Amino acid sequence: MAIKSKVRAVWLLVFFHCGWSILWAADNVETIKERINAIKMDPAYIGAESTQTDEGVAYYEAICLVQYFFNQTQKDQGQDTLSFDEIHLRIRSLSHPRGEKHRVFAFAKIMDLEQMLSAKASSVPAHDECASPKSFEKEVSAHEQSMVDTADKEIEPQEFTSDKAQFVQESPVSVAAQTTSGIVDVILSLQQVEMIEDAKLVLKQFMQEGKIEEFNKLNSLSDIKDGRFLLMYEKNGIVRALLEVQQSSFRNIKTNQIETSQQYRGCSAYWFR
Amino acid sequence: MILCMIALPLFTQEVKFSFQAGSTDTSMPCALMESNISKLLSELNNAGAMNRELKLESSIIEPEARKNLIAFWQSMHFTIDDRVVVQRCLNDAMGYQVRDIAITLHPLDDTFDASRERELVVSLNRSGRISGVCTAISNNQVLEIQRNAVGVTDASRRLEILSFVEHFRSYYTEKNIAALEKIFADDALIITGSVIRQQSMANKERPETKVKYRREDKTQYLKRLETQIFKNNKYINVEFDRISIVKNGADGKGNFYGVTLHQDWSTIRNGDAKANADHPSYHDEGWLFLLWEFHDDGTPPVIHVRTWQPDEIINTDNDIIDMNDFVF
Repeated sequence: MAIKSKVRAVWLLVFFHCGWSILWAADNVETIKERINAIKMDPAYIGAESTQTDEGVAYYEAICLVQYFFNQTQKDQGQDTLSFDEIHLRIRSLSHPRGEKHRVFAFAKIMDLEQMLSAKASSVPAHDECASPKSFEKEVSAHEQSMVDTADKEIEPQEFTSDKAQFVQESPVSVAAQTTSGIVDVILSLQQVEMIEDAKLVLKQFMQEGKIEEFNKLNSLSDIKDGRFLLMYEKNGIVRALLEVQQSSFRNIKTNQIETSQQYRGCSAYWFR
Repeated sequence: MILCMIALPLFTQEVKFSFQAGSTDTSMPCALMESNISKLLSELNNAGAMNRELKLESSIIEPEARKNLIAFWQSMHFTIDDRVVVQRCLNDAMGYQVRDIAITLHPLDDTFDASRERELVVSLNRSGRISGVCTAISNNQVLEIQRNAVGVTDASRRLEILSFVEHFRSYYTEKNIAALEKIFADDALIITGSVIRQQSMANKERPETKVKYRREDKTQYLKRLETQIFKNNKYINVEFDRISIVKNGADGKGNFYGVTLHQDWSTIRNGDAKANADHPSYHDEGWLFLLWEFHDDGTPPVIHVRTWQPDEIINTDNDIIDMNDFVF
């Protein structure tokens, strides 16, 4: 009897714990949604959201949308615009799960962006310079610091940014040591992308910012020279590998292994430099 | 009984819609649009939760949009994820758009097996009435399309094309011949195809794939669609992605836009008891090209050319038909 009572008590505890956890998670999501709506209704902020299976992609798209909406207003008024990196420095975000997907809301104070434009106008533009891995880490710290300094102190640092910083620390050999600093951001971003259409967005963005000189379909090249990168993708649009052309062979950026073109039969490719 | 009494008020929660700050201006009928969208979302939410037919107030929605939404509702119900929805107001060529309204699909049978978390797009005309409701294509498509825009007119037309593409996809699911009739120009050139897989004697493991093409005019295409495809299939699912829009750069052709997109098509035939979402009666994937023409007088754009090519024959992007393949 005593054992039965104990079992019942344990089950009750488990039941209450699970129930409480579910309620807590639901409540947490609702709180985040309320915060998102409050920021959207506040004219001091500009924000945009994206829902994707990959939280990193959703975060990237949400920032791109903020940049697009902000720059669109600026252009309509005949004023200067901000680059992705500049916007990224002032971005904060809130996210919550949506079924199997993640909804990310990226936002910035309009005043912060305007101040950045003023500062840019009165100084030598620096946004087109490519960040080295070291300076990228500094940028991440500055980003996190800016989040702490602003009024919404309860907002957690964005997870994607931390992952990115961690990646820089974990994979210095394959990315940092063997490539020029300018291409590092491009490679780091492409590592997060699963679909070729998303990769094309990334490449276009970096080309606008001057971080890559050009990109095109592989069949636009008469010969594949050293120093170029190949983004291999399958017919269904899934990106399979990022390769660097080195001494007429292909180095897989992720594995750091030398590979042959035979391994990618049936794949299409984009190249960039 | 008690559970039902508790559950019913939960299901009848209204949805309040507001525009995001800074996304509207004084020329827009904002209050009317917010009220109309709130009424629409509340009704969708309640009807979805109670699994009942839609009761849409005729004052909030155009008759055509109402008819299309009711047709969509015959195959799919959904509920709105949030009780308070705040979204940006976007300008398109015909009026306004509100995107990213989070919904959860509630399929009416077990043949649907795709992701249930979707986003809804609501289109409104300049007077603030709802002119279209459909599920959205992902954000990266919006970005990709808008980034290449040159000027306000081009940007609003691109957004309009995206909305038309989203509706175009729904018309097949809804089996909506009347809407397809309106979207194709009378002189439209339509090239369709189907993939035939034959068991080869030489290679029994891998079926031989052949592509059968058909060139049709608008009347032939719509007749075949109605009397064969729509009639013989219980369920049609069309998914679009990898969309690109190119504006014709030639003098005097600025109203023409070429749209290339990847199509995933599957059908379940009437009476095919073995078929389901994972194993449809028929499935193919390929590339669609649509040539759209906009009109300066504000009448809706029309499609002049629709072509389809199966994945099997596409090795590089250059193999896909685009605007350069047509002289017009």
